[in-house]
Amino acid sequence: MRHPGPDELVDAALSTRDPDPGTEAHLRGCPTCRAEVEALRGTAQLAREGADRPLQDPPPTVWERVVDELGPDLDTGPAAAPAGPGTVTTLPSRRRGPLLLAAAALVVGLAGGVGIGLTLGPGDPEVPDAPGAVPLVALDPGSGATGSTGLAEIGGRRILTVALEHSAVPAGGYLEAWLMDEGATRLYALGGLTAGGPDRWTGRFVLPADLPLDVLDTVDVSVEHFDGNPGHSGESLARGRAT
Amino acid sequence: MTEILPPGPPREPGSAADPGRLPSPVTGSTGSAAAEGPDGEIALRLRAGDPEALRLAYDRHARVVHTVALRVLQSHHDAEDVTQQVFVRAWRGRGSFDPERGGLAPWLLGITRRQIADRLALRERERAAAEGAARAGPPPPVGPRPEQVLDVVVVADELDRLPETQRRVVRLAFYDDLTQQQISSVTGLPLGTVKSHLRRGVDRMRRRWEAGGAAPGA
Ligand SMILES: [Zn+2]
Repeated sequence: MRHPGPDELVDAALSTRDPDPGTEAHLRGCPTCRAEVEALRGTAQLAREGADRPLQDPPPTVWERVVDELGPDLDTGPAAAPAGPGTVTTLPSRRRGPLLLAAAALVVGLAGGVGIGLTLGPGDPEVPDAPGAVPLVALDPGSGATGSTGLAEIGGRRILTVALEHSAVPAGGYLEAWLMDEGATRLYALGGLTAGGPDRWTGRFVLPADLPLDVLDTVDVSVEHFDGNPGHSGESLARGRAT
Repeated sequence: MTEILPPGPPREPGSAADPGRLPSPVTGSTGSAAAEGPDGEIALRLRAGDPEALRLAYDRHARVVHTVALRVLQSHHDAEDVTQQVFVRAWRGRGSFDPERGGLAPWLLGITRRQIADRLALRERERAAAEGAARAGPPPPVGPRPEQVLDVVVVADELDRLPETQRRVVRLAFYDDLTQQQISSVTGLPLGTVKSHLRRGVDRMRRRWEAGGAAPGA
Protein backbone atom coordinates (compact mmCIF):
# COMPACT_ATOMS: atom_id res chain seq x y z
CA MET A 1 0.00 0.00 0.00
CA ARG A 2 1.37 3.41 -0.90
CA HIS A 3 0.77 5.96 1.84
CA PRO A 4 0.24 9.61 0.97
CA GLY A 5 3.28 11.80 1.53
CA PRO A 6 3.55 14.23 4.45
CA ASP A 7 2.43 17.19 2.35
CA GLU A 8 -0.67 15.35 1.19
CA LEU A 9 -1.51 14.48 4.78
CA VAL A 10 -1.09 18.12 5.80
CA ASP A 11 -3.40 19.02 2.93
CA ALA A 12 -5.93 16.43 4.02
CA ALA A 13 -5.78 17.65 7.61
CA LEU A 14 -6.14 21.34 6.87
CA SER A 15 -8.11 21.66 3.63
CA THR A 16 -11.39 20.14 4.62
CA ARG A 17 -13.24 22.12 1.95
CA ASP A 18 -11.49 20.52 -0.95
CA PRO A 19 -10.45 16.97 -0.06
CA ASP A 20 -8.45 14.91 -2.48
CA PRO A 21 -10.56 11.83 -3.32
CA GLY A 22 -7.60 9.49 -3.52
CA THR A 23 -6.26 10.55 -0.13
CA GLU A 24 -9.74 10.35 1.40
CA ALA A 25 -10.11 6.79 0.18
CA HIS A 26 -6.72 5.88 1.58
CA LEU A 27 -7.49 7.38 4.97
CA ARG A 28 -10.65 5.30 5.30
CA GLY A 29 -8.58 2.15 5.03
CA CYS A 30 -5.37 3.21 6.84
CA PRO A 31 -5.43 3.77 10.60
CA THR A 32 -1.81 4.93 10.60
CA CYS A 33 -2.37 7.81 8.22
CA ARG A 34 -5.71 8.59 9.85
CA ALA A 35 -3.97 8.98 13.23
CA GLU A 36 -1.43 11.25 11.58
CA VAL A 37 -4.17 13.44 10.11
CA GLU A 38 -6.00 13.54 13.44
CA ALA A 39 -2.81 14.73 15.18
CA LEU A 40 -2.33 17.45 12.57
CA ARG A 41 -5.95 18.53 12.90
CA GLY A 42 -5.61 18.56 16.67
CA THR A 43 -2.56 20.80 16.40
CA ALA A 44 -4.39 23.17 14.06
CA GLN A 45 -7.41 23.21 16.35
CA LEU A 46 -5.26 24.11 19.37
CA ALA A 47 -3.55 26.83 17.35
CA ARG A 48 -6.92 28.29 16.37
CA GLU A 49 -8.08 28.28 19.98
CA GLY A 50 -4.97 30.20 20.92
CA ALA A 51 -5.24 32.70 18.10
CA ASP A 52 -5.35 36.36 19.08
CA ARG A 53 -4.64 35.53 22.70
CA PRO A 54 -1.07 36.63 23.29
CA LEU A 55 0.87 34.83 25.98
CA GLN A 56 1.60 37.01 28.98
CA ASP A 57 5.01 37.43 30.57
CA PRO A 58 5.08 37.63 34.34
CA PRO A 59 6.05 41.05 35.72
CA PRO A 60 9.81 41.46 36.36
CA THR A 61 9.23 41.30 40.11
CA VAL A 62 8.57 37.56 39.83
CA TRP A 63 12.18 36.83 38.92
CA GLU A 64 13.32 39.02 41.80
CA ARG A 65 11.10 36.98 44.11
CA VAL A 66 12.67 33.76 42.81
CA VAL A 67 16.15 35.10 43.58
CA ASP A 68 15.06 36.39 46.98
CA GLU A 69 13.46 33.11 47.97
CA LEU A 70 16.41 31.01 46.87
CA GLY A 71 18.91 33.40 48.44
CA PRO A 72 22.28 31.79 49.06
CA ASP A 73 20.85 28.49 47.88
CA LEU A 74 21.22 29.79 44.35
CA ASP A 75 24.82 28.66 44.22
CA THR A 76 26.77 26.56 41.81
CA GLY A 77 26.84 22.88 42.49
CA PRO A 78 25.57 19.62 41.08
CA ALA A 79 23.05 18.99 43.84
CA ALA A 80 20.98 21.03 46.22
CA ALA A 81 23.21 22.74 48.75
CA PRO A 82 23.43 20.81 52.02
CA ALA A 83 23.31 23.99 54.08
CA GLY A 84 20.09 25.93 53.89
CA PRO A 85 19.96 29.62 53.17
CA GLY A 86 21.09 31.77 56.02
CA THR A 87 22.58 28.88 57.92
CA VAL A 88 25.59 29.70 60.00
CA THR A 89 27.73 26.89 61.34
CA THR A 90 30.00 26.93 64.31
CA LEU A 91 33.63 25.97 64.17
CA PRO A 92 35.01 23.58 66.75
CA SER A 93 36.76 25.79 69.28
CA ARG A 94 40.11 24.11 68.89
CA ARG A 95 40.21 25.42 65.35
CA ARG A 96 39.71 29.01 66.27
CA GLY A 97 42.06 31.55 64.85
CA PRO A 98 41.84 33.68 61.78
CA LEU A 99 44.34 31.79 59.71
CA LEU A 100 43.56 28.32 60.95
CA LEU A 101 40.18 28.16 59.34
CA ALA A 102 39.40 24.59 58.47
CA ALA A 103 37.75 24.85 55.11
CA ALA A 104 35.58 21.79 55.37
CA ALA A 105 34.00 22.95 58.60
CA LEU A 106 33.08 26.28 57.14
CA VAL A 107 30.47 25.33 54.65
CA VAL A 108 27.83 27.74 55.74
CA GLY A 109 25.26 29.56 53.68
CA LEU A 110 26.81 29.12 50.30
CA ALA A 111 27.99 31.80 47.98
CA GLY A 112 24.90 33.92 47.87
CA GLY A 113 26.59 36.63 45.91
CA VAL A 114 26.98 34.40 42.91
CA GLY A 115 23.27 33.99 42.58
CA ILE A 116 22.33 37.44 43.78
CA GLY A 117 24.82 38.87 41.33
CA LEU A 118 22.45 37.84 38.60
CA THR A 119 20.20 40.71 39.52
CA LEU A 120 22.60 43.04 41.20
CA GLY A 121 24.97 43.66 38.35
CA PRO A 122 27.35 46.55 38.04
CA GLY A 123 24.76 48.64 36.26
CA ASP A 124 21.91 48.19 38.71
CA PRO A 125 20.60 51.72 39.00
CA GLU A 126 19.19 51.44 42.49
CA VAL A 127 22.47 50.45 44.13
CA PRO A 128 25.02 53.14 44.85
CA ASP A 129 28.27 52.36 43.13
CA ALA A 130 30.67 53.54 45.78
CA PRO A 131 30.99 51.40 48.85
CA GLY A 132 30.89 53.07 52.24
CA ALA A 133 33.82 54.56 54.01
CA VAL A 134 34.65 51.64 56.28
CA PRO A 135 38.15 50.48 55.37
CA LEU A 136 39.22 46.92 54.79
CA VAL A 137 42.60 46.42 56.42
CA ALA A 138 45.20 44.03 55.04
CA LEU A 139 46.09 41.23 57.45
CA ASP A 140 49.58 41.23 56.00
CA PRO A 141 50.54 44.88 55.56
CA GLY A 142 53.12 43.83 53.00
CA SER A 143 50.44 42.52 50.67
CA GLY A 144 49.41 46.02 49.67
CA ALA A 145 45.73 45.11 49.72
CA THR A 146 43.42 48.02 50.45
CA GLY A 147 39.71 48.32 50.22
CA SER A 148 36.43 49.35 51.71
CA THR A 149 33.05 47.98 52.57
CA GLY A 150 29.65 49.53 53.02
CA LEU A 151 26.19 48.54 54.10
CA ALA A 152 23.07 50.14 52.73
CA GLU A 153 19.40 49.46 53.06
CA ILE A 154 17.61 49.81 49.75
CA GLY A 155 14.02 48.90 49.20
CA GLY A 156 13.92 47.02 52.48
CA ARG A 157 16.93 44.90 51.56
CA ARG A 158 20.32 45.11 53.20
CA ILE A 159 23.00 45.36 50.57
CA LEU A 160 26.65 44.94 51.39
CA THR A 161 29.27 46.25 48.99
CA VAL A 162 32.91 45.22 48.99
CA ALA A 163 35.76 46.69 46.97
CA LEU A 164 39.37 45.66 47.14
CA GLU A 165 42.52 46.76 45.37
CA HIS A 166 44.93 43.87 45.18
CA SER A 167 47.36 42.81 42.55
CA ALA A 168 48.48 39.40 43.67
CA VAL A 169 45.53 37.17 42.90
CA PRO A 170 47.01 33.87 41.77
CA ALA A 171 46.14 32.41 38.39
CA GLY A 172 43.22 30.05 38.74
CA GLY A 173 42.15 31.80 41.89
CA TYR A 174 39.62 34.42 42.83
CA LEU A 175 38.57 36.58 45.75
CA GLU A 176 35.60 35.79 47.91
CA ALA A 177 33.82 37.86 50.52
CA TRP A 178 32.59 36.50 53.83
CA LEU A 179 30.92 37.68 56.99
CA MET A 180 32.33 36.32 60.22
CA ASP A 181 32.15 36.88 63.91
CA GLU A 182 34.93 38.47 65.89
CA GLY A 183 36.79 35.26 66.62
CA ALA A 184 36.37 33.92 63.08
CA THR A 185 34.50 30.95 64.48
CA ARG A 186 31.35 31.49 62.48
CA LEU A 187 31.29 32.29 58.80
CA TYR A 188 28.79 33.23 56.18
CA ALA A 189 29.87 33.05 52.54
CA LEU A 190 28.77 36.12 50.61
CA GLY A 191 30.20 35.14 47.25
CA GLY A 192 32.96 35.81 44.79
CA LEU A 193 34.18 39.24 43.87
CA THR A 194 34.34 40.16 40.22
CA ALA A 195 37.17 41.96 38.50
CA GLY A 196 36.09 45.57 38.25
CA GLY A 197 39.19 46.97 36.61
CA PRO A 198 42.95 46.51 36.84
CA ASP A 199 43.70 44.98 40.24
CA ARG A 200 40.26 46.00 41.43
CA TRP A 201 37.70 43.55 42.76
CA THR A 202 34.16 44.33 43.74
CA GLY A 203 30.98 42.64 44.87
CA ARG A 204 27.47 43.55 45.97
CA PHE A 205 25.47 41.15 48.05
CA VAL A 206 21.90 41.11 49.22
CA LEU A 207 21.91 39.87 52.80
CA PRO A 208 19.18 37.53 54.01
CA ALA A 209 16.80 39.41 56.27
CA ASP A 210 17.55 37.16 59.24
CA LEU A 211 21.33 37.22 58.99
CA PRO A 212 22.57 38.41 62.42
CA LEU A 213 24.92 41.24 61.57
CA ASP A 214 25.38 42.01 65.26
CA VAL A 215 27.19 38.68 65.50
CA LEU A 216 28.65 38.39 62.02
CA ASP A 217 30.07 41.88 62.17
CA THR A 218 33.30 41.40 60.25
CA VAL A 219 33.75 41.46 56.50
CA ASP A 220 36.53 39.17 55.33
CA VAL A 221 38.03 38.82 51.85
CA SER A 222 39.93 35.64 51.09
CA VAL A 223 41.85 34.16 48.20
CA GLU A 224 40.03 31.05 46.96
CA HIS A 225 40.92 28.43 44.43
CA PHE A 226 38.88 26.49 41.93
CA ASP A 227 39.43 23.31 43.87
CA GLY A 228 35.90 22.11 44.42
CA ASN A 229 35.96 23.16 48.05
CA PRO A 230 33.31 25.76 48.88
CA GLY A 231 34.74 26.50 52.31
CA HIS A 232 37.08 29.28 53.35
CA SER A 233 40.64 28.68 52.16
CA GLY A 234 42.14 30.15 55.29
CA GLU A 235 43.99 32.70 53.18
CA SER A 236 42.41 35.92 54.39
CA LEU A 237 43.61 39.09 52.71
CA ALA A 238 41.77 41.88 54.44
CA ARG A 239 39.07 42.55 56.99
CA GLY A 240 36.80 45.34 58.10
CA ARG A 241 33.74 46.00 60.23
CA ALA A 242 30.33 45.55 58.70
CA THR A 243 28.41 48.51 59.99
CA MET B 1 32.39 23.17 42.44
CA THR B 2 32.60 26.86 43.14
CA GLU B 3 32.71 28.75 39.92
CA ILE B 4 32.44 32.43 39.38
CA LEU B 5 30.11 33.75 36.77
CA PRO B 6 31.61 36.16 34.31
CA PRO B 7 30.63 39.71 35.15
CA GLY B 8 27.91 41.04 32.94
CA PRO B 9 25.09 43.50 32.83
CA PRO B 10 21.88 42.54 34.60
CA ARG B 11 19.27 41.06 32.34
CA GLU B 12 15.64 41.95 32.42
CA PRO B 13 13.10 39.27 31.62
CA GLY B 14 12.19 39.24 28.01
CA SER B 15 14.91 41.57 26.85
CA ALA B 16 18.28 40.15 25.94
CA ALA B 17 17.16 36.57 25.98
CA ASP B 18 13.67 36.89 24.56
CA PRO B 19 12.62 33.37 23.65
CA GLY B 20 11.54 34.38 20.20
CA ARG B 21 14.95 35.74 19.37
CA LEU B 22 17.01 32.81 20.53
CA PRO B 23 18.16 30.34 17.92
CA SER B 24 15.43 27.84 17.23
CA PRO B 25 15.95 24.19 17.96
CA VAL B 26 16.99 22.18 14.95
CA THR B 27 14.03 20.17 13.79
CA GLY B 28 14.76 16.50 13.64
CA SER B 29 12.68 13.38 13.83
CA THR B 30 15.00 11.44 16.11
CA GLY B 31 16.64 12.04 19.46
CA SER B 32 15.15 13.15 22.72
CA ALA B 33 13.67 16.61 22.85
CA ALA B 34 16.00 17.43 25.73
CA ALA B 35 19.08 17.06 23.61
CA GLU B 36 17.98 19.58 21.03
CA GLY B 37 18.71 23.27 20.80
CA PRO B 38 19.22 25.77 23.61
CA ASP B 39 16.93 23.91 26.00
CA GLY B 40 19.19 20.89 25.91
CA GLU B 41 22.19 22.92 26.90
CA ILE B 42 20.27 24.90 29.51
CA ALA B 43 19.00 21.66 31.02
CA LEU B 44 22.49 20.24 31.31
CA ARG B 45 23.81 23.41 32.88
CA LEU B 46 20.87 23.55 35.27
CA ARG B 47 21.51 20.01 36.37
CA ALA B 48 25.13 20.91 36.90
CA GLY B 49 24.05 23.71 39.23
CA ASP B 50 24.79 26.72 37.05
CA PRO B 51 22.66 29.59 38.42
CA GLU B 52 22.69 31.35 35.07
CA ALA B 53 20.92 28.35 33.57
CA LEU B 54 17.98 29.02 35.86
CA ARG B 55 17.80 32.53 34.51
CA LEU B 56 17.96 31.28 30.93
CA ALA B 57 15.25 28.73 31.64
CA TYR B 58 13.18 31.51 33.14
CA ASP B 59 13.71 33.76 30.13
CA ARG B 60 12.59 31.01 27.78
CA HIS B 61 9.73 29.46 29.72
CA ALA B 62 8.35 31.83 32.36
CA ARG B 63 5.92 33.21 29.77
CA VAL B 64 4.30 29.82 29.18
CA VAL B 65 4.28 28.91 32.87
CA HIS B 66 2.72 32.25 33.79
CA THR B 67 0.17 32.20 30.99
CA VAL B 68 -1.03 28.69 31.83
CA ALA B 69 -1.33 29.58 35.51
CA LEU B 70 -3.10 32.84 34.75
CA ARG B 71 -5.66 31.29 32.42
CA VAL B 72 -6.46 28.41 34.76
CA LEU B 73 -6.41 30.28 38.06
CA GLN B 74 -7.71 33.58 36.65
CA SER B 75 -5.81 35.55 39.25
CA HIS B 76 -2.70 37.59 38.65
CA HIS B 77 -1.62 37.14 42.24
CA ASP B 78 -1.90 33.35 42.14
CA ALA B 79 -0.33 33.12 38.67
CA GLU B 80 2.69 35.09 39.86
CA ASP B 81 2.99 32.93 42.95
CA VAL B 82 2.86 29.78 40.84
CA THR B 83 5.48 31.12 38.45
CA GLN B 84 7.77 31.98 41.34
CA GLN B 85 7.31 28.56 42.91
CA VAL B 86 7.90 26.70 39.66
CA PHE B 87 11.36 28.21 39.22
CA VAL B 88 12.24 27.97 42.91
CA ARG B 89 11.33 24.29 42.79
CA ALA B 90 13.09 23.79 39.48
CA TRP B 91 16.30 24.98 41.12
CA ARG B 92 15.90 23.01 44.30
CA GLY B 93 14.78 19.93 42.43
CA ARG B 94 17.26 20.15 39.59
CA GLY B 95 18.88 16.92 40.74
CA SER B 96 15.70 15.06 39.86
CA PHE B 97 15.53 16.33 36.29
CA ASP B 98 16.28 13.49 33.91
CA PRO B 99 17.00 14.68 30.36
CA GLU B 100 16.43 11.16 29.10
CA ARG B 101 12.80 11.33 30.13
CA GLY B 102 11.88 14.52 28.37
CA GLY B 103 12.81 18.09 27.68
CA LEU B 104 13.20 21.08 29.93
CA ALA B 105 9.85 22.61 28.95
CA PRO B 106 7.74 19.52 29.74
CA TRP B 107 9.57 19.16 33.04
CA LEU B 108 8.84 22.76 34.00
CA LEU B 109 5.24 22.34 32.92
CA GLY B 110 4.95 19.20 35.02
CA ILE B 111 5.94 21.30 38.04
CA THR B 112 3.50 23.97 36.88
CA ARG B 113 0.63 21.51 36.72
CA ARG B 114 1.29 20.31 40.25
CA GLN B 115 1.51 23.87 41.55
CA ILE B 116 -1.77 24.76 39.88
CA ALA B 117 -3.42 21.60 41.21
CA ASP B 118 -2.24 22.47 44.72
CA ARG B 119 -3.64 25.97 44.33
CA LEU B 120 -7.00 24.68 43.11
CA ALA B 121 -7.15 22.14 45.94
CA LEU B 122 -6.46 24.89 48.46
CA ARG B 123 -9.25 27.01 47.01
CA GLU B 124 -11.60 24.07 47.21
CA ARG B 125 -10.73 23.42 50.85
CA GLU B 126 -11.26 27.09 51.68
CA ARG B 127 -14.56 27.06 49.85
CA ALA B 128 -15.67 23.90 51.66
CA ALA B 129 -14.67 25.39 54.99
CA ALA B 130 -16.54 28.60 54.27
CA GLU B 131 -19.56 26.61 53.18
CA GLY B 132 -19.41 24.50 56.31
CA ALA B 133 -19.35 27.62 58.44
CA ALA B 134 -21.98 29.57 56.58
CA ARG B 135 -24.00 26.56 55.38
CA ALA B 136 -24.43 28.29 52.07
CA GLY B 137 -21.30 29.10 50.16
CA PRO B 138 -20.80 30.11 46.58
CA PRO B 139 -20.84 27.35 43.98
CA PRO B 140 -17.51 25.69 43.21
CA PRO B 141 -15.50 27.87 40.87
CA VAL B 142 -15.45 26.58 37.33
CA GLY B 143 -12.36 27.46 35.35
CA PRO B 144 -10.91 26.12 32.15
CA ARG B 145 -9.44 22.64 32.32
CA PRO B 146 -5.69 22.83 33.06
CA GLU B 147 -4.74 20.21 30.48
CA GLN B 148 -6.62 21.98 27.72
CA VAL B 149 -5.15 25.37 28.64
CA LEU B 150 -1.68 23.90 28.69
CA ASP B 151 -2.07 22.37 25.24
CA VAL B 152 -3.34 25.62 23.74
CA VAL B 153 -0.57 27.65 25.35
CA VAL B 154 2.34 25.41 24.34
CA VAL B 155 1.11 25.26 20.75
CA ALA B 156 0.73 29.05 20.65
CA ASP B 157 4.19 29.42 22.16
CA GLU B 158 5.73 27.15 19.56
CA LEU B 159 3.97 29.08 16.81
CA ASP B 160 5.50 32.27 18.23
CA ARG B 161 8.92 30.66 18.07
CA LEU B 162 8.74 29.58 14.44
CA PRO B 163 10.94 31.44 11.99
CA GLU B 164 9.10 34.37 10.45
CA THR B 165 8.21 32.88 7.07
CA GLN B 166 7.26 29.53 8.54
CA ARG B 167 5.00 31.28 11.02
CA ARG B 168 3.34 33.28 8.30
CA VAL B 169 2.66 30.19 6.19
CA VAL B 170 1.27 28.27 9.16
CA ARG B 171 -1.01 31.16 10.08
CA LEU B 172 -2.39 31.40 6.56
CA ALA B 173 -3.10 27.67 6.60
CA PHE B 174 -4.56 27.51 10.11
CA TYR B 175 -6.35 30.80 10.54
CA ASP B 176 -7.27 31.71 7.00
CA ASP B 177 -7.90 28.15 5.89
CA LEU B 178 -5.93 28.59 2.67
CA THR B 179 -4.69 25.63 0.64
CA GLN B 180 -0.98 25.34 0.03
CA GLN B 181 -1.54 26.47 -3.57
CA GLN B 182 -3.43 29.54 -2.35
CA ILE B 183 -0.70 30.32 0.17
CA SER B 184 1.81 30.16 -2.64
CA SER B 185 -0.25 32.68 -4.64
CA VAL B 186 -0.75 35.02 -1.69
CA THR B 187 2.89 35.00 -0.55
CA GLY B 188 4.64 34.59 -3.85
CA LEU B 189 6.60 31.70 -2.38
CA PRO B 190 7.11 28.65 -4.61
CA LEU B 191 4.68 25.85 -3.84
CA GLY B 192 7.51 23.54 -2.75
CA THR B 193 8.70 26.16 -0.27
CA VAL B 194 5.19 26.58 1.11
CA LYS B 195 4.86 22.83 1.54
CA SER B 196 8.13 22.45 3.41
CA HIS B 197 7.48 25.49 5.63
CA LEU B 198 4.04 24.25 6.50
CA ARG B 199 5.15 20.70 7.14
CA ARG B 200 8.05 21.76 9.34
CA GLY B 201 6.06 24.35 11.21
CA VAL B 202 3.14 22.06 11.92
CA ASP B 203 5.49 19.26 12.86
CA ARG B 204 7.24 21.40 15.46
CA MET B 205 3.96 22.55 16.97
CA ARG B 206 2.64 19.04 17.06
CA ARG B 207 5.74 17.62 18.71
CA ARG B 208 5.66 20.39 21.27
CA TRP B 209 2.01 19.60 22.01
CA GLU B 210 2.72 15.88 22.30
CA ALA B 211 5.73 16.44 24.57
CA GLY B 212 4.27 19.27 26.61
CA GLY B 213 1.10 17.73 27.88
CA ALA B 214 2.13 14.19 28.53
CA ALA B 215 5.63 14.24 29.92
CA PRO B 216 6.12 13.35 33.56
CA GLY B 217 7.54 16.05 35.78
CA ALA B 218 10.17 15.98 38.47
ZN1 LIG C 1 -1.50 5.21 5.14
